Amino acid sequence: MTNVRSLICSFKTQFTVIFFALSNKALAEWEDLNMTQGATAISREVYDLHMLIFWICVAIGVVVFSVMFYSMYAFTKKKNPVAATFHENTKVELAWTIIPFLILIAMAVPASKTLQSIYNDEAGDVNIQVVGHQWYWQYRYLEDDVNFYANLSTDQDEIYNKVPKGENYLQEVDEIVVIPVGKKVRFLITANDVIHSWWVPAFAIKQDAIPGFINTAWTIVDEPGLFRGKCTELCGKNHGFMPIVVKAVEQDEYDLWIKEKQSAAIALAELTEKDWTAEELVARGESLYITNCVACHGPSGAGVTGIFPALAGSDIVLNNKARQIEILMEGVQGAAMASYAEKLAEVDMAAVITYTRRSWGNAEKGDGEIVVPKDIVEYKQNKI
Amino acid sequence: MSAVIENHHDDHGHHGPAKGLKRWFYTTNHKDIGTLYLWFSFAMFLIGGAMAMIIRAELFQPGMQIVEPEFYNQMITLHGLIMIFGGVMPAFVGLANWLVPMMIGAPDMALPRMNNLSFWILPFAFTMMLSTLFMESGGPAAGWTLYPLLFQLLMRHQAQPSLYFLCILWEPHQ
Repeated sequence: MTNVRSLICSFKTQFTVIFFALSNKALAEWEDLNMTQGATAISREVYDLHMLIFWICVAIGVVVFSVMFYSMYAFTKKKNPVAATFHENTKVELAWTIIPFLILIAMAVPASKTLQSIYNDEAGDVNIQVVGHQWYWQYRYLEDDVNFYANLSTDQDEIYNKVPKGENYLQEVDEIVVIPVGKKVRFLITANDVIHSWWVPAFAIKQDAIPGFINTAWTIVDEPGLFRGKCTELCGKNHGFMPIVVKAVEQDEYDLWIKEKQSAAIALAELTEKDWTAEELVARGESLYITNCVACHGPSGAGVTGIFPALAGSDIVLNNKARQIEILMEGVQGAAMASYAEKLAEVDMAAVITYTRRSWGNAEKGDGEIVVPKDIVEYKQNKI
Repeated sequence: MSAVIENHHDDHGHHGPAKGLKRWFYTTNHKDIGTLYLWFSFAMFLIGGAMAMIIRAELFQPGMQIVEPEFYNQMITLHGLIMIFGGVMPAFVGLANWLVPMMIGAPDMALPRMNNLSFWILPFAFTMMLSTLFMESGGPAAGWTLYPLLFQLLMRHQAQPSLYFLCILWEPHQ
C-alpha cells in the first residue's frame, strides 16, 4: 500500500516537474521568438509599446474576423434567400471612422512619448563618436581621447567551414566598446565611406550612420553585461562581418579601462622609435594584414579580379616602396582603397607593408626592401 | 444592302490577327498585349525566384556555402529589381491591359500601337540588366534601392550602372 502511494506521489511530482519544465521551455522559446526586452529603461518601454500594439492588433483581428465569419455563416443564401435591400448606414459608417481614429490616437500618444525620450540628444556623461567604415566600426571617446577600431575577430576558417563555429560566430570583435553602468552614454553616429547602421537590440538603438551627418542615440544601462549588435544597412561585400560588442561595467572598472587604453596608445607610439628587423615587422604585420586587408586582397594576396588588385606579384609591392606607402597613407582616388593613415599607427603601417613585401614570394621577385616606422614618420613630415 | 453584306464577306479572310510570331510583334489588341505582359512577368518571376533560391540555399547554414559575398549581393540586388520591375509591375500592367478596356466598355486601349511598343521595350531592358551578370565585375550589388555612396563606390569598378538606370527608366513608359 505504501509502495503504491509513494509511486503515485512520485508520479505526481514527476508530472508536475515535467509540466513546469515544459511550460518554462515554451515560455523561453516564446521569449526567443519575441522582440527582446533589452537592458535599459528605453528598451523596456519599446518592448511594452510593441506588446501593447500587438494586443490591440489581436483584439481588432478577433472583432473583425468574428463579424466576418459570423456573417458568412449566418447569412448564406440558404438561410437568407431574400437579399436585404438597404444601403448606406450613417451610424455604422460614423462608428467605423471614429473608432479607428480613436484607436490610432490611443497608440500614438504613448509611442510619441517614447520617441521623444529616444530623440533626446543632450550631452551624456560619456560621449562616444561611432564611425562606420567598410567594414569595421571606429569608436572615439570624446572626453578621454581614446580612439580604437573594432574589427570582426571570428577566424576566417570558421567562416569558410574549415573548423567548427564558435559560440559567438560573427558576433565577436577584437576591441570591445566599454561603457559605465548607470551613466548616460551618448553615441554620435556617422560614417566614413557609405551608409552603415549601428544596431544594438538590447539598447533599442538602431541608428543610420550616414557620411556627413551625425545622428545621435543614447543609453543608460542598469546592470553590467555584454551586448552584441550588427551593421544593418547593406554596405558592401563584408556587410555581414562588422559586428558590435558593447560591455557595460561598473564606474571604477571603466576608469581603469580608460587608463589602460590611454597608456596602450602611448606604448604604441613609443614602438616607432625602436629599431625593427624585417622578421619582427613581418611577424607583427601578419595579424594586421588579416584584420585589415584580407577582406579585399585575400589571404594569399590574390585580390579579386577586376575589383581589388592582387598584391602578390604587384609591381608596386615588388619594386616601388614609396608609392606603396603613399597608397596606404592616402588611399586611391576613385577606387575602394581607403586611407589607413588614421587607422594604423606608424609601426603597424610599416609592419603591414613589410609583410606584403615579404610574403607570397614577393621578396624573391622584387627588391625585397622593408619599410620601418621611421619611413612612415618621414612621409608624414614631408607631407607637412 | 445585300451588296454590302457580300463585300464584307469577301474581306473576311484579311481580318483577324496575323499568324505566328508576327501576331505578337505587331499586335495592337489589348488582350494580346496583356497576355504578353503576363507571360513576361511569369518568366521574370521564375528568374527572380531562382535567385531567391540561391540566396536561401546560401543562408541554409551559417558560413560560406555555395556563393561568395560579392555574388550574393548581386543576387539580392537583381532579385529585388527583377521581382519588382520585372514581376510585379508588368503583372499589374498585364491585368490592367486585359481588364480595364472591358470594364470601361472601350474597344481597346488608347494609342494601341504605343501600347505594343511599351511592352516590347521590356524584354530588351531586362536582357540588358541580366547581361551585366556576365560582365567582368558582375551585376549591381548595392541592393535594389541602389542607395548612393555604396552604389557610387561600386560604380567605380563597373562600367554598366547606366544600364540599370536605363532599364528602370524605361519602365514608366509602360
